Amino acid sequence: MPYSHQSQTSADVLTGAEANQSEENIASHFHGADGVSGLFPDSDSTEVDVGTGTTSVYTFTIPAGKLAAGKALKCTILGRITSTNANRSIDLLDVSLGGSVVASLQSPLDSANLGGTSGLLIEITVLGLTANSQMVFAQCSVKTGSGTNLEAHGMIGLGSEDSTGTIAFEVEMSINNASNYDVLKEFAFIEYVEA
Amino acid sequence: MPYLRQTFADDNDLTAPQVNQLEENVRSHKHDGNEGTAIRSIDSVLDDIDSAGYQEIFSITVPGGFLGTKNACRFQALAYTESDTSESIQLRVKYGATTICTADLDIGDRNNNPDGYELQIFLYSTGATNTQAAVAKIQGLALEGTANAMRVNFDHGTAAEDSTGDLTFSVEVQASTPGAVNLEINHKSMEFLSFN
Repeated sequence: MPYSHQSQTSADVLTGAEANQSEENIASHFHGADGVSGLFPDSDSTEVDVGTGTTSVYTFTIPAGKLAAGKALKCTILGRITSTNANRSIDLLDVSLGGSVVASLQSPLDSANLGGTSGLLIEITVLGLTANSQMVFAQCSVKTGSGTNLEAHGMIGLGSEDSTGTIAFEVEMSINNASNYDVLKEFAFIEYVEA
Repeated sequence: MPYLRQTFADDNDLTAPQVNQLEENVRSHKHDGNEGTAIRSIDSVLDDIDSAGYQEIFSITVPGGFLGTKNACRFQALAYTESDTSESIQLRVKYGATTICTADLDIGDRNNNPDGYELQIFLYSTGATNTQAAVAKIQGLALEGTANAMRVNFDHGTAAEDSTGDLTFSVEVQASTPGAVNLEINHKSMEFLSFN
């Protein structure tokens, strides 16, 4: 049968029958932005060139309740590293909650010449421990030179934000010498990890 | 207005107006099957990389309009080998007519020990419908000198495809010494990550 456009007013309180619907055998489709937020609330495709000073790479406002006990979110940062000079390093990777740095990784990349361009992948998980305590895990794994050696760095930190309100999330980075190489964030996104 | 249950028979060919619906301000709900999740495809067919040249291990159509200016795809696969000779795993990623990136991992001689490897690929819009980038990663144990070590290789590439039309995303793998490596690729998944 034809599938008709359904519309309800914002803040409508739905009945159980209205909220618990099944859609069967419908081809994939997109939901309205004001409706089902799903597991992927935000992405940012604005390129950021990391400088020698602390550079904000990505920010996101965590909605109230999204870091309650047992809930988590994951931030993935993608980009590229270009180097033709051996003298290079990412000096700093900071993760902040509520405006305070809760996890800091010093020199996550400090190695030989890449001899070209490599991918950049940073994965950060923020876990809600209680209503007002969080644990942050971060990993920055990169190719270190023209070969295929892995340099993986992990860090952990603790936050103490009130998750019943919104929480500011921010990732900052810096490099040691912008003239020798570039580190660029191209894409970042958030996914919720919850039942 | 009440939101009525809609039912279609399997394999119905839906019209465009039926497919392109908006649901506004509806409380979160689950779709039957995989439609309510990010995972668009899971392929658990075991691919034996046992002949020379690249073998396609996965292919899917990225629908026109999906990547847009802020969406992404995430491909993941698991690989297995117990090579008894010096070996490397080579990966090639295509989007539309573009080989967007490659990556290879020299894993050395595994000396008949079974080892696992992770393949991960991100394809994402870089802010316009005709600019995309990809990061490909292979990670796993490899022989470094006389000891095993965790190793990784990353590659980054760009494309200038028109993502407003349907385009094929595919992943190809080859082994540097096919036949002697017992390289197998399993449990491939593709997620379409759509952001608000």
